Amino acid sequence: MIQRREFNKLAALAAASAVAQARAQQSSPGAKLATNDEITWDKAPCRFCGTGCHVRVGVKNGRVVAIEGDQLAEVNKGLLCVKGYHVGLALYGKDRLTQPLLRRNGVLEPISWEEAIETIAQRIQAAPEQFAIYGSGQWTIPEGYAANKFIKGGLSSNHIDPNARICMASAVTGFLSVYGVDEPAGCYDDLDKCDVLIMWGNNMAEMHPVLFSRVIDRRTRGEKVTLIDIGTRRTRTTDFSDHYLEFRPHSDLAIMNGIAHLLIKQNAFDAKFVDKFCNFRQSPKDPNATPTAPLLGDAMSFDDYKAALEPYTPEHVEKLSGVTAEKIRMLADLFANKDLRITSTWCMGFNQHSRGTNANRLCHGIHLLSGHFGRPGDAPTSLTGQPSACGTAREVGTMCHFLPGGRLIANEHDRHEAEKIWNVPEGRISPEIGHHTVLMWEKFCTPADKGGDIQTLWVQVTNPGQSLPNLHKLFKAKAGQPDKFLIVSDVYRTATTELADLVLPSAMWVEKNGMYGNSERRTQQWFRMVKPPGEARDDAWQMIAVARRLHDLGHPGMKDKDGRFLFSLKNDKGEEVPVWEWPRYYDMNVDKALFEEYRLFSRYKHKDLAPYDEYVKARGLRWPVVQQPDGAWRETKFRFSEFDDPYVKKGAEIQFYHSVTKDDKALIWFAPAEKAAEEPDAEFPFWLCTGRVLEHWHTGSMTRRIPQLHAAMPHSYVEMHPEDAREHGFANGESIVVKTRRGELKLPVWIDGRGHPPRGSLFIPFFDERLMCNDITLGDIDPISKEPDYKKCAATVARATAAP
Amino acid sequence: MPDEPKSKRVESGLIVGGIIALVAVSGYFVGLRQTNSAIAMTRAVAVVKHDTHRDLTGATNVPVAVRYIDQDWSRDGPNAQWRNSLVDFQQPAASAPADAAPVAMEVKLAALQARASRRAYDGAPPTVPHPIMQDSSAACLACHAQGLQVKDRFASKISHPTFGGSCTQCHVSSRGAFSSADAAVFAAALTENSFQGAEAPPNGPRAWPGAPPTVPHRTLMRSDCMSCHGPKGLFALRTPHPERQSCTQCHVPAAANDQRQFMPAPPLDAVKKTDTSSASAPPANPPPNP
Repeated sequence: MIQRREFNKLAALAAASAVAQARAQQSSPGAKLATNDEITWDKAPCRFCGTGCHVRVGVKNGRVVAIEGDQLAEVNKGLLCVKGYHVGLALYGKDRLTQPLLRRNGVLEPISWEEAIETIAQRIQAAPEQFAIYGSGQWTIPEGYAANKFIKGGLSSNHIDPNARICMASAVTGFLSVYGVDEPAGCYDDLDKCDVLIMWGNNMAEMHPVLFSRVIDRRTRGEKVTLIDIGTRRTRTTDFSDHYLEFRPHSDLAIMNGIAHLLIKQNAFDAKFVDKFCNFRQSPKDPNATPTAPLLGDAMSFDDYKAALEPYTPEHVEKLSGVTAEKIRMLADLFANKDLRITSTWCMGFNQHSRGTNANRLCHGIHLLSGHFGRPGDAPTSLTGQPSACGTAREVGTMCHFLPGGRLIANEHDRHEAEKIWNVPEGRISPEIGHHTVLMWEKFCTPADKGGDIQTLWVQVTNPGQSLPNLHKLFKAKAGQPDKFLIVSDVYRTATTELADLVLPSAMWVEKNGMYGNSERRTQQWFRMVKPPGEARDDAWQMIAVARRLHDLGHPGMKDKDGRFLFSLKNDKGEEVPVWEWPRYYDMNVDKALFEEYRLFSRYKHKDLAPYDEYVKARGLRWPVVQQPDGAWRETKFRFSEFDDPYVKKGAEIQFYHSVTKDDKALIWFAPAEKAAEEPDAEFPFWLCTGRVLEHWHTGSMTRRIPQLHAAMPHSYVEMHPEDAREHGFANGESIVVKTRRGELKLPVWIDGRGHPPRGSLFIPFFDERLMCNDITLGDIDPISKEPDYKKCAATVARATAAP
Repeated sequence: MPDEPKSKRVESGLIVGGIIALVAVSGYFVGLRQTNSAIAMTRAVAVVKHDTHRDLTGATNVPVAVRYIDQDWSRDGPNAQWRNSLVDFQQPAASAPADAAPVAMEVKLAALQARASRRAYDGAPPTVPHPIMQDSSAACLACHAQGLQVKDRFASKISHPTFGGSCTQCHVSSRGAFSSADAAVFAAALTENSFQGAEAPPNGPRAWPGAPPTVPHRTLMRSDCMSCHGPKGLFALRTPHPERQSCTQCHVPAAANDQRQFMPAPPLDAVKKTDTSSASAPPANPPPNP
């Protein structure tokens, strides 16, 4: 008898290869049979947003072949969004950069890595003070740490800022000025426990879809949770919300003041909580008195605070915001009810706001005033957009005024501590705050003889040529200035490489070891799983190689006090490895060595990090991670709350142990409602808002190369109210011109599409590099956080004269 | 006696009232009966039988009803210009079998290929082959909550009902709005990625001939077997015994497909070494098996 089992096996095999062949013809020739047995799986955090989902990466024959949601990950519990499911495809766009390119006679030509490193080192050596680094919330923690140490501890310059400045700087200044220390007190567990979720200008269904599902899937399980969407246009989030409050752009400040007003008027605030845990603050009379003056503010009494809120009656707020007095009362009543657990989330709506710091402060303020703080489900929580905006930009402090671990450039004590850890001579770190993002690019685009003091700029892991506001002024003006030198490390050609003088091909995501830190203080780790294409190399290696070349050229800053190279790293056996030589880079775990050094910074502000090996075992751990008597490392979910945070004194209940006022109290700020920097007028009658879509991640340099995502959202558009379109005679899909004082953009109008702006309002997503909305955005910055407002400027529309 | 006239009045009043009530109640039922009989008396509508064939080829001025399958799918209103027809949907080439006849291997392969064409890799969320409501998941669930069959077209049932909220979070249109704005660019961009996804395994291994096959694929997000294997499931993948409800009683997932295992930390010396060879080379040091 013929072996049926064998026959079945053969049939299965034949079938599989037939399928493979059939598919290979569709895609590309040479596809091999893939069976699941041959796939090895390993964990990694997703490459995209700040949610920090863990994925399982399936690798076969040295290539990523599948992605799965990680069921063991607390963040996403097995679920991903469409970007996450397709994250593996981001590695395989056909136009990956595979060799260093130098611009000669206007053309990018291949050069060797040695030449590339030498070119950068020579530029820096010639004028180190005119060199700046523009980094990223997509830098891994060790990458950001290496860059930070290199420029601040090596070059004695603070001209380093990340793209996180244009993403969440206002959240940082908000946390710092309220709690005295950055990052949310709560975590995603709040989403499982809250009775009410208020999303402030936050289209969570598209921007943090996995977190959004974490909430709405509670309804599928029969739980009740009330969703309140406070926004300037209807979105997918609105569809799931119980209440939608549409406000006039920029009037969110008035709404929050209205809530505070009612809480006090009706004596419904939590007097006990406020008395025990809060002080009151307002903007300082002289914001320029000291560098930290805007963060510290001026003290005010409760009576002053009460008086300042006096004008914000529900009726007055209705006039300012367009939200009915009745709805303002509803919000106040929710906050007045201590039996409810209320979580607030926000993202770019508050942060990309020319009063972003104040918006953040007021939101923390109403939570503190009402006592909706410090219990699971009661939390004001900012969400971030990049995978390591918290980990790398904020915690490592790759910003022009920060040092690692929450230390400040402006603070002498902090500088000396950093110098001690880096073992560099006292005074090595410059006390002068560097250029923040917008200033850095302004200085880079301004000719040297007109005050443009940045001549060489190194961009890593980001695409400012598309994401900066007002691009004509802040990026495109670089063209035609031969003395300016732009270096870009990236994985694909982007709008930024268009003007680059030197392009370096980088390894990405699972092509290198890495660590990220997500929105809920969770530090995550992964290992290299596949090799980068061609000559692409790790960003951290690029930085260390340049540092080593400068060391060899005799730059004194590249040596520590004992004459050792800044990045002389030792493997587990204690042997030094010359990691600046690429073939030796993976002879040791550079990530581990850099992280263990960085970890020494983390205790100061109680952001304690565990040893590297603990993160290898975990799906991320939320800091402070504190060692227990039995040696185990325990993460902290709810900061400042006695029941969970080991740094809170016994019996204190709640303790803000980094309090600005040094009395363990948080600050409730008053900030007035103000007008936007540019409001619609007769000439430019529309509000223009810009933002993101589900399918694309930020500037789309990765997601537009993923067929499934590109097909779903292939083209930018402008959303408009049907009545407005009718008035202008626009048909749905018709190409129209959107014009602002900065320029114009031609793109199709989408009526009743994905989002629904109210009358007099437009929305354009920013993912499409062929239709860059930042050619026309304003770029006015928040005076405290220096973060630009991308959400508000005045625009007008007209019929396009020619076909697109 | 003053009482007597009163009790008489009451008595006569009761009698009159009783008569009125009796007439009213009986009248009501008589009326009902009459209505019923009136209905019964109306002429029976001539029922068009299925075999009735009227030849309309030469007829003019006769409005011909559009078959449902040919009906324009899009709503009226501002989005009406994005039209789609049910017949344009991607569907397996062969039509549905009438019953549980065994499926030939080549037919099954064709079905698997059609299935794969909507996925980046086996396990990826399938893309949607038709236009979608941009701002609501209710429209998705109208057909996909329970699955739907219209003639030979199938809307498969959701395979993960516990994640039933935000459908478009994972499932996106395979042809989004404005894909025709730069049709050539759009078409070209779809081939600009060299990713090769893991294939769906065609058969689960059996312990012996006739044993129930094991589940060859992972089951995360595929917890409802009937989504693909039920009567409204994917062609050629449907179970020959849909009357049996408890699938995992006989068909168990293979151990290799258990995704719940915690991947242990590879020893630190397993950090993959680099060399200068390109990405297509096999990994120098694959992570050890758990």
